[in-house]
Amino acid sequence: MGKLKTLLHFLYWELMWILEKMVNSPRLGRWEGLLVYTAVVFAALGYCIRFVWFPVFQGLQFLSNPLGGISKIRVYRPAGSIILKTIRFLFSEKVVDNVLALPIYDMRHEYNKALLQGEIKKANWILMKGRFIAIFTIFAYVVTTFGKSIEKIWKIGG
Amino acid sequence: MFPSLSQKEYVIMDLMRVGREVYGLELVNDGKGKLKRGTIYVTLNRMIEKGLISSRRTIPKDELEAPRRLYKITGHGQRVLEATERAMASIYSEAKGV
Repeated sequence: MGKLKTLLHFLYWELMWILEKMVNSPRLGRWEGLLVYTAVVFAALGYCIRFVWFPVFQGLQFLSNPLGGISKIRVYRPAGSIILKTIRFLFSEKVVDNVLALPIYDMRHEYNKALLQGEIKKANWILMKGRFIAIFTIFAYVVTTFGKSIEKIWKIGG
Repeated sequence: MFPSLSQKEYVIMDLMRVGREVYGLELVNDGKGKLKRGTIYVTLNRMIEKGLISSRRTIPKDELEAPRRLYKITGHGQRVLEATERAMASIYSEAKGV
């Protein structure tokens, strides 16, 4: 335990030294340095919350209720449901059914397949990639529709 | 005016040539990197608007199956594909002759 504490102290001061160097570095401007500093601090905070606070919190829950977490039924939203809800709100039903929802359905199919095979990492990767593809499809659709509208207006204008 | 085909549209129609019904992901997998997932459905929708292909929605048999949309080449699309190929062949032979 003592060794781990020393190691953590060492890492902490090493990180502080690197941050100080970054902020005071002549290569970086004041704002750039501040930006890097903020990014590193937020990343460290995120890491602490994810890997330190969550396990501790789960442990406390377990102490208060030995079956904590296990007895509860967790209900998850289907993959890509927020994007689907958003596009259903923003676009017409026809456009959603013909274009925008299809990459999400593809993602769900692949995601479920990966989960059934027990490949959690692959499933997470599919989810991440699928969200990006769905958003890219929306962007592509909006750009092409906008282009078409401009073309129509141009033609009407002569 | 004779409808022109973009490179992506040509690849898609070439994959649908036999008259089989295909879905978007299948086209991306068969396209060997020529078609991207992010743009395939926008391109397919444009082709439907042009009348080159038609589509129908499938009813999923179980909960795990995705509600897919199957695409098929139309008669008009087939004629456009054949005409484009004839035009390409003639351009190629002329270029070869020169």
